[in-house]
Amino acid sequence: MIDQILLFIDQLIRYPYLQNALFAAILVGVICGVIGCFIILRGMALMGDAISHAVLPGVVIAYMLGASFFIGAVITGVLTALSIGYITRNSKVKEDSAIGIMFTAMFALGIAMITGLQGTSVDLWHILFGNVLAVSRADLWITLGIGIFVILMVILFYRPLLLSTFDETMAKASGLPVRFIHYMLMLLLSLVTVASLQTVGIILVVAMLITPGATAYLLTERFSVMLVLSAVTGVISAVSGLFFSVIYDISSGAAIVLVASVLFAAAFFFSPKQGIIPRYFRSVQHSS
Amino acid sequence: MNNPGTIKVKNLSVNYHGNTALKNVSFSVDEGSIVGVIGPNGAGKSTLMKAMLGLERSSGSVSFFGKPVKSMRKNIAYVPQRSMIDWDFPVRVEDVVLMGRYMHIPWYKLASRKDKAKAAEALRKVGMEEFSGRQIGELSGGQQQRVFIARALTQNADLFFLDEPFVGIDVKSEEIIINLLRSLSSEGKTIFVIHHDLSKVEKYFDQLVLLNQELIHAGKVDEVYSSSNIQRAYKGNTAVIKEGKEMVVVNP
Repeated sequence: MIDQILLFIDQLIRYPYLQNALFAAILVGVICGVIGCFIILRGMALMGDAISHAVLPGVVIAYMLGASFFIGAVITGVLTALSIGYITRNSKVKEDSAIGIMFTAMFALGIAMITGLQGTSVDLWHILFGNVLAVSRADLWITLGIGIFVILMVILFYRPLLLSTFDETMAKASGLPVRFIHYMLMLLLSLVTVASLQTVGIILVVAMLITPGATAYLLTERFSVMLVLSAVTGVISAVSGLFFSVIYDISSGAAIVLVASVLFAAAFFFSPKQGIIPRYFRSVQHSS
Repeated sequence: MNNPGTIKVKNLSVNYHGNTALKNVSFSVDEGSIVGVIGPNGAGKSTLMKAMLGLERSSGSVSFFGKPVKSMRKNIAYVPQRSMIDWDFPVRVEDVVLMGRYMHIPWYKLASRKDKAKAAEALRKVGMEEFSGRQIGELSGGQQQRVFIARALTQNADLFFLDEPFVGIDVKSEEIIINLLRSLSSEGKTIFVIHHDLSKVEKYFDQLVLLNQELIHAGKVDEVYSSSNIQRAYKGNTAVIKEGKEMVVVNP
């Protein structure tokens, strides 16, 4: 193991593309972890999955037009969130069904466009599953920009975000623009998805949004601590995932998500307060 | 007629996908009173409260001391039904109480020492200061309700809206809360309480709004709380017993 870590560090020093990959992975770990906390506590895991998939046609159109795919992704991501809200408010179709309809429609549109445009440089496999080693300097700058923007928004609007997540009715009653906050969060979610596109890919982004957040959720009782722990868990998953990906030559997205899942399992079984095993021992002590 | 010290609701109606939840409700309430909103299940009590707060698409008008709800937002404290809250949420008692200050803190500032002192004082008033570091799910129902009352207190509001505050809580908490509400009302605050337990109606409230989608009657407690009104509101679910004083028994 030590040898492999040394080998990884050695390669890291030697190859700039690996350095880019590492920085991208760290950034993605942080922003997915932070936004993921809101997704979990608002019960929007399906929404997270939806927005990440719905980004696909935007990315493809942007490629076709030669525009930045960040813009394309944000447009289709937010558009999907708006349509889901519109369908839910104006029909008796429940939100989860509206989400299911809209994101599969958008995702299918993306796939149709890619397959119809064979011969272009759009690589479906890389968009779907990520290819962290292809992160360029320019991509890295954009990811950094998105990361700073997302973190800044969460810090600046920490209180409105917390209140509208915890007690929506009071938030509305006290005059917070709750619906605007929701769409703002969807915008951030689209940005985070695009930033994670190359690291973990569209399909697995939802894992980076939910798993580190859920791990942190089991470990703390304070929201601010949960945000930090979730970001830390995200970074640990991303960096060690990248390590396994390089050493064993497996898909970076898959490796990162697997590490995150193992961390979640550890918290699930061993978390001091919530863990299955400590809880079992407490109940045994109580009954004896 | 246009007394500014009143809260006026005029022809308030709410429809959900073509179903009427609230029909042409009009009443007025005096400043500084504790108002019980009562009626059977599905009578639209919560809907009335939400419509008054402008949280529900409605027709009709609501004015607070001559002003629309929009200009009163910071002045309205709302306490949700306990069942609306996710009690596993990672917040501590002190965090929840501090939320009552959120609308007063400018977005670019942190909560000041003054805000925190206000929150601590409110916690003392509800007798929960020793629990300030607990996660909210670790408390009993009555304690949770007291924490939310403390949050409303820190807000320094003039209007209070409480949705079923006495459901599933212990006698001690109920007593602490009702005493606090009484002292708030003596300071001139107006308090709306959605309530389902008819036995304490006369003890707790100054005015009543009796509701079953339409307004049955609103006004002073002794005017509204009559067996004929209760029977009209609760329809088949009532029986009248006459033992000295007339009493109405209502099936839950």
